Amino acid sequence: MPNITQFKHFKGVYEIKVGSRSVLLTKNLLPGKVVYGESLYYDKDEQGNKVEYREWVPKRSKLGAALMKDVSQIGMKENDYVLYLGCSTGTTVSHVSDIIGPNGLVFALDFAPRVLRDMVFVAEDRKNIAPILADANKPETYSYLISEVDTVFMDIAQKQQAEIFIKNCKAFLKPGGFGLLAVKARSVDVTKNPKDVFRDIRAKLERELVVVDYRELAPFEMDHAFFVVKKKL
Amino acid sequence: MDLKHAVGHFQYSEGKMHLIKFNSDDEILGLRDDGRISDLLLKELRWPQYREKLINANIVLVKKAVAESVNTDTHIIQSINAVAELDKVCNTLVKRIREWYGYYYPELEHELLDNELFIKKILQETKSADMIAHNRMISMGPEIDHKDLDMIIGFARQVDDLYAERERLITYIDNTMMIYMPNVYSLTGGLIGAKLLEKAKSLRHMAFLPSSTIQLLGAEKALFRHLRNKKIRPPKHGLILSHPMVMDAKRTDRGAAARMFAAKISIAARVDYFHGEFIGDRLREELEKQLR
Repeated sequence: MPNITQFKHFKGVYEIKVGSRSVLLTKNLLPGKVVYGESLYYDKDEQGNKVEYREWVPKRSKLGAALMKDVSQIGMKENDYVLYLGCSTGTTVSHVSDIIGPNGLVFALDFAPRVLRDMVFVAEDRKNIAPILADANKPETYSYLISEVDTVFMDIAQKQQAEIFIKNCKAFLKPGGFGLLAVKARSVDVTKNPKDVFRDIRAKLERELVVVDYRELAPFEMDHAFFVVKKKL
Repeated sequence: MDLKHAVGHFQYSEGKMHLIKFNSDDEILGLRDDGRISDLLLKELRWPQYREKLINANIVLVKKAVAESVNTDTHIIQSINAVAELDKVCNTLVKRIREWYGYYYPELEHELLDNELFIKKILQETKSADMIAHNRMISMGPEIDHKDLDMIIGFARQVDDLYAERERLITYIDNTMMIYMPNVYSLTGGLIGAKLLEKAKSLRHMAFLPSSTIQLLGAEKALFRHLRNKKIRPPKHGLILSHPMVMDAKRTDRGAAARMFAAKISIAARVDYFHGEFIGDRLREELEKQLR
């Protein structure tokens, strides 16, 4: 009986029970390589070959935290193209890269050269990531560097988060595709009550997109929320 | 190699976007002319045959951009952070040497409060010479084996080198600031100017900051405390407090001094970023007049 099973209905995401807690995993695209100090787990497939999985740490990854908080949809699956805004050094991107597999593609965008530099090493290893140095607030500066995508994921701590997210979904997300937005209440307005900030963001999103899920990410992140939206067909 | 060669090239003329396809020799392969060119290109680039080109072209672009992003700001910021770290480290190590040496000659350790002077002294003078100089007949510390003393002194020598390195860095910061940001330098000096730059992340960003922000750089904890609860009073000054222009002002004038100083610094930063003529002296004069 295998200890590692698919995580709920999410193809490409796995879990293993370690004692009483559940550990989230993705199948390692590069067996043997660890990206941010995460643990490795092993299992055997039907042919008896060893399969390697990487731990997905929800405290380090908002997408992982959203999954642990029962989000209903993450949009991405094998062979998908994903636009990842705010990729930083690539911790969450590595899991997206695992999920989409060798034929998918993540456009990993960030504004800061210093962190993108680390991301380039991850990209060169995995060969399904295209790093981009650009300002997500100006899609016209990178629209010629990317294609249409199946999923948009954004984790950028800025006051204009919602506007930037909507702009990018309108420009690059395929009709019927899912958009994922991680919101840090303190970046939008440090003085406001987080619940008010999230309510305002939701209202902005509902004007242009269909909000299909909303999760608060405590205890993995404080004063953070996660929105899942769908672009109309 | 850039994406233009990988896929195609946009051209905007006669109010329309055209897509011109090139091959790797810049030869025009074909012309496409659509109203919805962007949408079509986005969808076309999704096709599998473009996958590797998209990845490779972007990696090359990013590598170039990352290399180009390193400039004088980088070196000033790294060196000022190095100075801060050296301060911490030297402090910690000197405390250890004080304790260790104190078992041998506590009277000297007790007398010299300044860390740098203490290190220099124990490297220069022997215990016996110092005892004679102070007319001390007995010491609370015993004579110790030279192999033990060698360890303490050897360790102290390393710390002395670290102090020297710190001086080297400060000179470097001063010289670099004088050339890179001469106007700010003439107002704040090398150290404070560099610390401001470190907070602002780059000269460009600093040039665009409002002077009220420059006034409070370094007082973020107090600032956000005030923003969350308006009953708590806002800070009057951040890093610039340590400058004599603010520090030496009367307590009641500190706020005004900080505000005026910050105003001149922000002007200086703009002149520096846009390579204007040197006006540092004029700014200093105006400032001194105002502070009367």
